[in-house]
Amino acid sequence: MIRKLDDKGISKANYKVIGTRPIRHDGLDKVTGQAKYSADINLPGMLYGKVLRSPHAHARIRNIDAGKALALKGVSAVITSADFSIQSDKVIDLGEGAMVNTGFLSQNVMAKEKVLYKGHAVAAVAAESMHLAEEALALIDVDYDVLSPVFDVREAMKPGAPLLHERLYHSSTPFIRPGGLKDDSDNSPGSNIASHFVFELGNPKNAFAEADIIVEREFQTKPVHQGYIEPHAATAIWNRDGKATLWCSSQGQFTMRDQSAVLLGIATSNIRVIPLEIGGGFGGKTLVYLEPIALLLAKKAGRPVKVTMSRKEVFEGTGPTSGSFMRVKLGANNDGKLVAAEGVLAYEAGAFPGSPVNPGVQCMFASYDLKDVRVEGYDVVVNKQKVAAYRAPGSPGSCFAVETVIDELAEKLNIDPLELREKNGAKEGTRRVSGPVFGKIGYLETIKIAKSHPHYIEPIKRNAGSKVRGRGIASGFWFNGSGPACAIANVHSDGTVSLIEGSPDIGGSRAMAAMCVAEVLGLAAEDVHPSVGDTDSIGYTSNTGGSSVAFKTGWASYEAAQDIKRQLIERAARIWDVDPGQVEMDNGTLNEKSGTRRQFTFKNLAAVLLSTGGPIVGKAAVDPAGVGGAFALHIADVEVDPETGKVDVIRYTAFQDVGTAVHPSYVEGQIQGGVAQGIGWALNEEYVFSEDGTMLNSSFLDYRMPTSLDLPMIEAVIVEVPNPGHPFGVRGVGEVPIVPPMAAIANAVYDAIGVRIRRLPINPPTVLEAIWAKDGSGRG
Amino acid sequence: MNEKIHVKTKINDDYVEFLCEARQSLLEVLRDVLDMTGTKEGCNDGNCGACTVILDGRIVDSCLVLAVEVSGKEIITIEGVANVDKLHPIQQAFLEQAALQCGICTPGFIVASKALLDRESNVDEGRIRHWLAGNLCRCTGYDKIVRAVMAAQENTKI
Amino acid sequence: MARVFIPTMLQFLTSGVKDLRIDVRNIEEVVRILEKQFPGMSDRLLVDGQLVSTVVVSVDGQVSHLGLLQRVKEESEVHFVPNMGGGCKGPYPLPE
Repeated sequence: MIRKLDDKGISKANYKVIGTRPIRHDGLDKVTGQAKYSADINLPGMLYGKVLRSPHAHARIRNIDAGKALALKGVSAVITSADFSIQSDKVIDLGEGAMVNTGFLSQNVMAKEKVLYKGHAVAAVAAESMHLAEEALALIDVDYDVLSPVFDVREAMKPGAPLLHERLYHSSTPFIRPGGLKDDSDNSPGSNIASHFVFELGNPKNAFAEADIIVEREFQTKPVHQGYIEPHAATAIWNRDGKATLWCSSQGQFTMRDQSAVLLGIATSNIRVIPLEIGGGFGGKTLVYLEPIALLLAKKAGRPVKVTMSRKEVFEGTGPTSGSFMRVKLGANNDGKLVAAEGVLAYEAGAFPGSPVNPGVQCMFASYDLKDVRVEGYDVVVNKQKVAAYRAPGSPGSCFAVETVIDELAEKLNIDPLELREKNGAKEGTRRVSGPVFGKIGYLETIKIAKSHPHYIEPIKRNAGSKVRGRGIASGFWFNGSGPACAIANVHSDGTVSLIEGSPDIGGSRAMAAMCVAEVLGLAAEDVHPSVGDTDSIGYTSNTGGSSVAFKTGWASYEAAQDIKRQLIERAARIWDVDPGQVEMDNGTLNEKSGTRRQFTFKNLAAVLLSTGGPIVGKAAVDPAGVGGAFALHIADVEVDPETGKVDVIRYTAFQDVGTAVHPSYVEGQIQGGVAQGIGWALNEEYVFSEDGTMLNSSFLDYRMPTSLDLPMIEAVIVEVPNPGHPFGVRGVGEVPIVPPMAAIANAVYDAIGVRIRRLPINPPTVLEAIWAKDGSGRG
Repeated sequence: MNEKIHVKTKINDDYVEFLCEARQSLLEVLRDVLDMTGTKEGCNDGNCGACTVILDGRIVDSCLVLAVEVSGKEIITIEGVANVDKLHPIQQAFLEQAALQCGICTPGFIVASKALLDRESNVDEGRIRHWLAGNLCRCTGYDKIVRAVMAAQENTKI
Repeated sequence: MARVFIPTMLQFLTSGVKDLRIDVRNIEEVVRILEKQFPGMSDRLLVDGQLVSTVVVSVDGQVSHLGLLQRVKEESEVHFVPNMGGGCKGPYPLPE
């Protein structure tokens, strides 16, 4: 369902291809099993690599003895951190909320002096078969000095807590530097607090003093994993000239190249990364894990090596998102105007600094027009997996907290929750807590559409047998991003165009890119053939993430097509012997503006290119500004069984401003997918740890993600408030849909059972405890 | 443990022979020995369905089947779902309904859905969701997948 | 005159001044003038003569990837914001 806004100043362009739903170009390979994913590469002479992982959550490594492993027949190589290049604490920006310095990145890929979580990589082996590699791992002797771990974020912040990095630099005074290391001469007491962020607008202290009503609450969340179905895998081979080729699936082949090159201490041009299809990423495949290991093993063994992760290793050895402790305080007047806001977030970074607490604090109040706000965030290391980005990193957790408090405020003020949001909604000109002012955004338009939707209007039936039902609403925001992106488009003599761009395709983006080219040149989407280039064949393109691809790669594709258009006009002019100013191209046809009014269709002109001057290739390299942020509003109906505590989501509608939906089916897909992950996060998913830091549920059986039985149909309502900063009005769409679900469900559960649950997940034991506490039965 | 066993079986209507160790799963043999990488590994312990194949008419997780067990049996994998010149209605429906995003779970869903439509008609949303509950998808939220199965059912009727 | 905002965390260097109006062509000039008025500022904003990679500059609400080279218009609003999630700015190839 698409709702085009009829407001003044919003163009209702008549697109021919944008907005249609062609079959995606890579679809045939994917439905027939032909598409190649990261573990699908088999090379002649290939060895299999496996990683040895720490059994301790916190320990010093005294010695690693791989002698027996190397002696095993069929084992070709063993590596440890000694094989990696020495790293300084140079910072690399990965985007997606994860800023790491290369020293920490290297240590996470393979532990150096200490192991900092159970599952931390310690060594790796290459052998003739995977089974043999696993046997070899068991023969590696590692001597550990076990240390006391710390797991809870608030415990880790206390003075006297076990320190993960003795020389971690607590950067609360210098401007935003994610934990680096102290100078050798600095003997100030150590800390697990890697970073501290503060943003303030106006004077919240005074504003709270003036408020008619204040609500202040605390919240807790647990680490959750992105849950991509495809485990990590990487295959590497070296040439005799010292150059390597790496196949992997990732959210950025250039990131994999650059990070690997730094960790190995070689020039980036010595590694060519060929992106394979990716089986889900959601932010979790923006850091290297196996790639440098595959490269080093292949170098040592002198043969190609494929390294894979088991599902258990994915959970225990890659990066979930942060668990957290949060406090939110909101002040309002009796008429429903929000007058003051304060938020404090403590996010677990895991073993190394870099939680998304920064975007967390910046997004939490973004939906509201507030003049007096203060937000504060702490990035804290604990003995758990080092966190990686997960879809709108930082925002889902903090918005869970804020949207729950907003709901409570609405109830106390006796104002409809949607009315309260409309009254205080952010709009063009609203200043964000970090300083900049919003451009054209669609939050209020999204609320308006929601108000007229049946899911909002139709009342919910309270009781269904012994179960109770409730309805909840929540909104969410994500910045969206941009970055460098390149595209090359070749015109073929049969009137088709092949497009090479640089963005790994997580969910239909190459079809989107092809549609942008088709729109400019007046072609059918099927006549543009898109593919994703490797690090040598396409110009630098930043990660597929940050909801940036439709924006930046769509733009690059658009520009490459414009380049072709210019050249076609020149060519037709040359053929007709007129000035190029006399030729225009519209709707796939080149027309002579006056005189004999000659014409070429795209196909006819393409057919004669080689005989009239040569082939035509369009190119573009962009790094576009003009990003538009995205807002979402969700309505959830739940049914709660008071006997078992089980919560079922029975109806769900997600409204989202997408700017312009290039391919509506895949925009809907992004919305539905984000909602599904949010529902899992709300109801079931969490890392369960034992006392010694072992993840107890590192399998899909016990790390419980939603199945087809757990979800209803998810209605995605596309709202289009075009972003004036983009040629087609595009806003990023992929991330914001995961932001509202947890609060929407928590608010719905409250509506059903009358108890506010302020920690995630809202699983059956939690619901039962809440019900029993409320009815005073004291059970449990 | 490492001595290889000779297995004869039928895969996608072709007679196939291979050598494998006793400890190798059918999934491993399909992917690493027979180079049929259409069947995917998501968890290797029977919890995600990405490795779904049809074994003697029943859907199974091939990671839970030892390769030596398929001796004399008949297997259908994703590579055998389409006809030589035509997609199976379920494959066509997945494309038209946009029922895939990253596509890693798609082979498993297609094989499982084919098995459902082969044996049952007039399946409704509830039956489809129940049948497919053993296949995990992280990208789509299942909405368009369920719609695709319903659409495929319509097409098979015509 | 462009309006330059001082990030909350650096207001300790400006004795609480939150924003100021200055006549500048680009961000490099902004940083130079800030350092002159509030010594210690450039130490927080620059590393090796470039904008520190954990910070981006936002001009008129748009995040710029041009760092110090970013031009500033007459009535522009300039903010220094922490570089964070959503942006897929890098990593750029590191110098050899």
